[in-house]
Amino acid sequence: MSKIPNDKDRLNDADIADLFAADKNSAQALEPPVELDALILDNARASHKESSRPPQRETFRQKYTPLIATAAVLLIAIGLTPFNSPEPLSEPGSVTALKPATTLTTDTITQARTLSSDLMSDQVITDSDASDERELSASAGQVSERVAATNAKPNSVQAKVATDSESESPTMLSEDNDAPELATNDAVSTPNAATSNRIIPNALFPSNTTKPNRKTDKTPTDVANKTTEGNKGFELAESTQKDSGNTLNDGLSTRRVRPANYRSSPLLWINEIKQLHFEKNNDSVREELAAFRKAYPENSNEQLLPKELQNLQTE
Amino acid sequence: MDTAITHNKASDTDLMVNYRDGDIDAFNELYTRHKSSLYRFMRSSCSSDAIAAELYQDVWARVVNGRLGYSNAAPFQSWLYRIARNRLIDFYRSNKNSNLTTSLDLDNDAHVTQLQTSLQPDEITELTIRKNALAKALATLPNEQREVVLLRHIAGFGVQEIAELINENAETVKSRLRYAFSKLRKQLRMLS
Repeated sequence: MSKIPNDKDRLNDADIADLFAADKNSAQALEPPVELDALILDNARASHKESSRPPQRETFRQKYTPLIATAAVLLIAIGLTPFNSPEPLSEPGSVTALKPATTLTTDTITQARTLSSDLMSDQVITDSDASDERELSASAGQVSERVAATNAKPNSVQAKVATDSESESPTMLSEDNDAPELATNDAVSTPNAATSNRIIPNALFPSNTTKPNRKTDKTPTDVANKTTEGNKGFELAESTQKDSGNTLNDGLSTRRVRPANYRSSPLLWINEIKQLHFEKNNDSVREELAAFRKAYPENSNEQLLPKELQNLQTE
Repeated sequence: MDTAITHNKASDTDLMVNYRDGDIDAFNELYTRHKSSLYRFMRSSCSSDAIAAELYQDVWARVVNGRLGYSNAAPFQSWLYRIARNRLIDFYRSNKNSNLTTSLDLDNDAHVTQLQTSLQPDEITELTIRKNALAKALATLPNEQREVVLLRHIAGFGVQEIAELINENAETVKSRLRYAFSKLRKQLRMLS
């Protein structure tokens, strides 16, 4: 019920107050709907019950389930993670695959033979030299096989192969009695010894001459470099041949045994002359060159010789 | 039974404190005491019964939800009507077209310098018979004037209590009331 306003404020609003009072007592008095009363009271009771309910304690399960789930996921992740890291794979055809002590494998020999055949196809050889080429390739194959067979003495045999780049006589390699001496050579342990582990076909080509009769204007070294990466021995051997001051060669020149049948083939003979020139055995060079020119006048194989030897007057 | 008697004798503030502390019956008593006046206050401040019912329910819901924060420093009735007034202000702001001021004439406060004489008893009787005369007259008042009239004549607050409730000084409340009464009388006479 509404209060009667206190007129101490001198508002003179008694008539308004009476009007409000009469309005309230009349049938037109505004009352809230009964449904609204029930709704408000029910809401009050429900809120009271919720507030009066003791707080539910979190059970152990409710409290620690998220932590347990997280820990389980982490453990599973750790368990699935491989502990052993995969070993680094070595690159195929890397230089490390061709260590000084690496023996020549069958694949290497095959590649050598293939290379020799390719090189032979690139060359424009005369008919007179065709037989020589075939003989030389056959001997190269024999040499490569022998090298593979004598892997027990890699340093000695392979060093011998490196130095005797132009000498393909099987007899030279058969002289294993020199192997111990060569093994004791300090040059064997030098890096050049490592580079001497090269493939035989590289010995067929001089490092400082070109063959103008070739179809392609490629140098022997370029052709050698055309091979796969696994045949890094070509490049290594190249550096060996260029090193005229190689103590290894110098050391071996005094012990080198001239092949007996080097004069049987122009290529072998030229190779021997080159070797003598490399050994700075000028007298033997002049002598052999003169004999070669006499035996094979205007032989195209003379072009395999260094320029100074080609221009050398023997008569 | 004893509880009911106790509740009947208890003041509004005590009942609210009891309700805050868990006595649901205290709330029932409070609701019974103030439901009519509050509903009339809300209905006289709105343009429709539906809006009035919604706002009225909102006010009580806020009372229930805020019971834990009630302190007996302020009287319950002041606290209740402060909640109601704030709810109306929110409603006016969200519905700017809900201004109840639909003056029958274009009188403004500046023209209401001539105070209307008090209504006579016969006028009052006649107005009472007329349907919704008072409600129509109240609807013509500005919100600020209608508010103070309703707080005075429905809630029964004094000028000082109204001033504290609406955060205004007493003189402002008086001024508003005087202007409101004058307009009401004029409108009522026009209706009668």
